[in-house]
Amino acid sequence: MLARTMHSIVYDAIHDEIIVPNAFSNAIMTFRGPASGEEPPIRVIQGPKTRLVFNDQLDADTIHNEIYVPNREGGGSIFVFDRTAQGNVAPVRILGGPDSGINGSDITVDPVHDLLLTSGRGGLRIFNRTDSGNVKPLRIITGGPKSGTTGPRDPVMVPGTRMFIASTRQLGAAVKTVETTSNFQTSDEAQSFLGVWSIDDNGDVAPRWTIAHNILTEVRNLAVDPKHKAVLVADKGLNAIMTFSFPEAFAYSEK
Amino acid sequence: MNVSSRLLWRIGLVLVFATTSVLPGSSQQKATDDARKALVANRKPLRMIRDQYALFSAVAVDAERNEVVLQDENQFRSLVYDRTTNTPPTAALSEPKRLIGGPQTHLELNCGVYIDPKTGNIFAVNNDTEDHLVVFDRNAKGDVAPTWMLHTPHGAFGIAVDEPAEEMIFTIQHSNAVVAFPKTAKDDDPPTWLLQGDKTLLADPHGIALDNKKGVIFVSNFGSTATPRADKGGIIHYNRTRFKPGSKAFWPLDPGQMVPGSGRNLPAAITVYDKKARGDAAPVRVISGPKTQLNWAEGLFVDEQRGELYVANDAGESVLVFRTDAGGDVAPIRILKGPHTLLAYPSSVFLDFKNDELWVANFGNHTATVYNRAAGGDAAPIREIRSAPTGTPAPALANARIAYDTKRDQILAPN
Repeated sequence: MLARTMHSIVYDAIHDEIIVPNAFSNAIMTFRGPASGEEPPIRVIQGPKTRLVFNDQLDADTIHNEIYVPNREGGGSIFVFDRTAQGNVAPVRILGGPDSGINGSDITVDPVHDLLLTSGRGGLRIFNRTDSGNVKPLRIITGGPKSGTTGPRDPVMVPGTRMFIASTRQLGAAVKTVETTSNFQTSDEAQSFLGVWSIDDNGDVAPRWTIAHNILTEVRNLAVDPKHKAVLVADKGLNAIMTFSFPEAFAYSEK
Repeated sequence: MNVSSRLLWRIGLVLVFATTSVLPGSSQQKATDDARKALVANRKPLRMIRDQYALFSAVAVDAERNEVVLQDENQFRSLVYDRTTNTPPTAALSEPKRLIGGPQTHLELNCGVYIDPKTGNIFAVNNDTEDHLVVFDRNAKGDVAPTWMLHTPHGAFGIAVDEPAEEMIFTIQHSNAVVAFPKTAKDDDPPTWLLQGDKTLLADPHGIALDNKKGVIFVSNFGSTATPRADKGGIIHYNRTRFKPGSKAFWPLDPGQMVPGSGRNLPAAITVYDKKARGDAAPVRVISGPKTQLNWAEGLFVDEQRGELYVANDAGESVLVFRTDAGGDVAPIRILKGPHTLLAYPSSVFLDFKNDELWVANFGNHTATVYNRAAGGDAAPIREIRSAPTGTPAPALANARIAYDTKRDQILAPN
């Protein structure tokens, strides 16, 4: 039931499960954490009631037992499903609408502070986790001259803090057009790096720390290894997974 | 400790000293903070999982010129070897005669290849992320621009060329479609016909092969599919083509234009179409079922004279051979599989009729392996082209995303 093209994966440490989307078959599949080989999923969300369309991204709130799925159709929205749902089920709520400004390309849930972070008009939009319907975001973290960046994208929360690590680019870096290749070919062209922002930031705020300059080309997503205070980066252009020691991002403990 | 490491270590010592001897909020403190941030900004990765060697996704032989062209989907290159290259067991690897790769080439996640029998031109198909067919002169090498390019629908994978009809036919993985272009099409030229719709049973299609003798087209399908919207009212996520007037008629709907919630999983299958099939046409036959052993079948190749269909059966780590008139749940007439074959996630097959050889591109072990055409069972290859030292792991990353398994300290990466 897997596809050769899969653009998201979540590890649920509480229940020791792996959750992945299959965008081609409009499915959300959950496997056992130690699954190996040709093993069937333990749960599949799929069917007309789901209204899923090319659902290639997702995130999970393993505390409140929900799965969040961006949806690009109709201007962009976030579908929320019960984590334990099985089969042809409708979303329990949908966040989206013109006021939300969501583009439906990505999602990060912060279950500790009850927030959703998702891309949209003007930058990274922060909502209450339980928001539903056409609501405005609490805050928007943008790029701009103060930060010197294009703003945060594809964030990953830093456990135990109010901070997140996200990819970004130097403000004014090259932009892709229909005449160019679809992707940045070199780190000079991409001018991509990672930055640390707070979920309390609003507007054009500079990242507290940056890392991984002059190496990245096409960042696909990030993950954190809290035990070793490291951030992991998947880069499509390099076809590589890199691990950076980044204790500075973990130094903002709330305790 | 090298020179740069020693330097960084000394700078670190200075910073540690500095941070203990300056007043908070002072200009000296700011300078110290800025210096520390600059150090962190340029910190190198602790570890990098990256395959530095070529990983072969597709193969085509130019028997007239005694060369073989291999697509390297890992480093985004096309490699040209002498056809008779045979990497000795003691050698680290074999170097190609020519290598095409670099930013100018537009090669990226290149997964299909065709060699024009007349000119020797190399046609390379890019899959996810770079929506072009790129065509190179047979003597091209280095970081060179393609001789010409054609915008293709997002997710093109397999290529078959109907030489008498001067027509190229592609599978479009993301759209569950088959589209055709004139062989000379370039830039934003439109497709000339399309297969797409529920009746086609196209489901995450990959390989494609033509049988001009029987007048049919074979397509291998992984199984994931969804229903295209009848109103075509969705949005086009990926298409970067500047449509010419009237050119959208045969452009497939993309994954964002499917009926919401219509996705489903069909059994792995090889669907067979009449060459004249168009639109939402049903296959004339379907090879599918447990006896077939199909499991993420990718590259296909037809031997018209012997009436045989060769299948690179990726997840089954085998090459399956069916009769070209096979249908239903049938067993292959020959299976190449086993530890002596050196097959590892085979993604492409090619028959060299002149030399009576079967070529296989293995995405799992840095090799292209060559067998007698009629080889079956656990037969060892008669030659192999290896791009890395024996046993080098092949992570086969391609546009991967990651998660971190904190319970097992493992990185999860779907491909």
